[in-house]
Amino acid sequence: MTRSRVVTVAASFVASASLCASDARADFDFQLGTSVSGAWVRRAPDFTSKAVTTSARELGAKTARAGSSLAMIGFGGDVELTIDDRWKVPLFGGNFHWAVGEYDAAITSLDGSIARLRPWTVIRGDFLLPGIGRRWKHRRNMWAAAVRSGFSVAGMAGSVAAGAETVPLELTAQTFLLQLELEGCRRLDPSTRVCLQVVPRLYDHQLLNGLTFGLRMEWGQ
Amino acid sequence: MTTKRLSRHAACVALALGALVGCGSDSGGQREEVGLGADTALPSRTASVVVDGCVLDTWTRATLASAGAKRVLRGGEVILLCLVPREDGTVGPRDPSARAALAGLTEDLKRDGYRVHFGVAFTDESGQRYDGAQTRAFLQSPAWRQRLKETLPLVVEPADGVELDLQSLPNDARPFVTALVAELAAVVRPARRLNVFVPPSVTEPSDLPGGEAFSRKELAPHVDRMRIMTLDYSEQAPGPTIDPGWAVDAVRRARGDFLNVDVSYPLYGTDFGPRGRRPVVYHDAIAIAALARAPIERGPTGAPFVSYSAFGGEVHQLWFDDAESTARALGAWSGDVLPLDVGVLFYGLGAEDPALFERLGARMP
Repeated sequence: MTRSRVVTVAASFVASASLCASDARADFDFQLGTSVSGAWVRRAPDFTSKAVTTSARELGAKTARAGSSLAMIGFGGDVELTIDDRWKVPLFGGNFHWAVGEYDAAITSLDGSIARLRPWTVIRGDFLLPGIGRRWKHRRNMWAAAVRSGFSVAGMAGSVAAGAETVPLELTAQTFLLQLELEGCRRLDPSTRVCLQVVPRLYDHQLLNGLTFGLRMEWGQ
Repeated sequence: MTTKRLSRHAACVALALGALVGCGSDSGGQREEVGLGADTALPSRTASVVVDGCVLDTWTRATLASAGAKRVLRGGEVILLCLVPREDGTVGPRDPSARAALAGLTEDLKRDGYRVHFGVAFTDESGQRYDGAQTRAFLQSPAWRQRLKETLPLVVEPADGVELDLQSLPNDARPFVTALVAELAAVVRPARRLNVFVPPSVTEPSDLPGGEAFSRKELAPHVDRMRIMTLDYSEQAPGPTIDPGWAVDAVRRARGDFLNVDVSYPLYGTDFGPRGRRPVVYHDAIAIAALARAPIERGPTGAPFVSYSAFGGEVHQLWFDDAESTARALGAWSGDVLPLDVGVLFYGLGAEDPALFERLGARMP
């Protein structure tokens, strides 16, 4: 295809998009949200350690199984776009959670060495990417549902045995994220809403691996 | 309800939630993920056991007769470490009564389904191990080796195989070790198996004194199995008798030269005191802890230890293994860490936790 043909095709797309008839009521608005939430992880992911040298051996990056479920608490925020007051397009956002509650140390194997993982030190950051959703309003109440993607990074402290000594371990786990955001809101004033939000994690290291739930404040139409 | 009040309520709920749960903390407990928990099967490996001597007392005999031991040691050997080469190379015991007793014990063990190997320990008649220089001098002599070769078949007649336990050799003994193994292989194999105990080197050249005395590549054509002696990890400072990760590295290094290897696991413990190290059995360790009223703690590998003051205020630390620490190490050696054709050699029958084989047997697939 020649350069002139490419230009012609592109111009025709732009023209068709801008010149066709469209809904006169269509408009959009940006919305800001912050949340305080609890999180439940059905099964903690397998964590990968950084390479470490002990008095007994040199260990490359290895994977260790933490195994248990986790309870977490944290906060987050995001920006989303609403279209026609019905569609919502979550744009970008993030959450930060840390483990809460009492946990047993997880004794596990790191390439044959005995490692001790500390689930109570788990922290998790979610980086949320665009998604798509729908919302419904009735007087001062609103319900919304959206699916969005992202990725999640978790870190945990641990140690590995080398005879009678222990050497600290830094462990991390990353994953692609897909979550379903469900919320019920009540308008406080023309531009502020308070919401209860439940977010099942459709994919978080594995299918249906927990959820987050919490209070959310939204600013926007 | 005003906006202000609702906002305040929301903030209160959030703060209460945070105050309620706070941060994560250590419960003080432990949860085994190794081997996927106490109720999960351990990797299925061939296992053998070393008896340091020609005699089994009634306790150890009963242990070998137990269902747990039979389950754990199925497919492996009972190694009686009791053959001794004398100064002229003649292998003992030569007394008819001693040989008859050994043959009787061997037959008895075979009736329980075990294969029995006789181990050649290079000790003098008093039971003291020859020093490395002395053993090297023996091995260097073709006449001594010839005598050993001539006299070995008679004493190993009842056995299914022979194990060579050469220790503390200087590095320059390498050609003589290889020569000895090659010459013995000619009279032992193929009717019986010939195995050799090998130092647990983790580097090339060996990081161990005398580690270069063993050329695994040169020995490989002459032996059926190499037992990697992953024991006595802590020699200078108090610590566990084995580090499971170190043992993995030693076995991997050996498998680079020869695939049929065993990883060793100690059944005994070690008491570290100001007068040196002393091997101890499980019952000693428990009795010392009780007498000293000292708590039994667990080290980073899971091996139990006791810190106590002995007579005269001597400070001791006693490290040993029990069913829990042994199961933890065996679980850590999963199939992806050590291939399942790597066997396990339990060293020092009679020194173990009495519950060991029952507990391990219950987790064998």
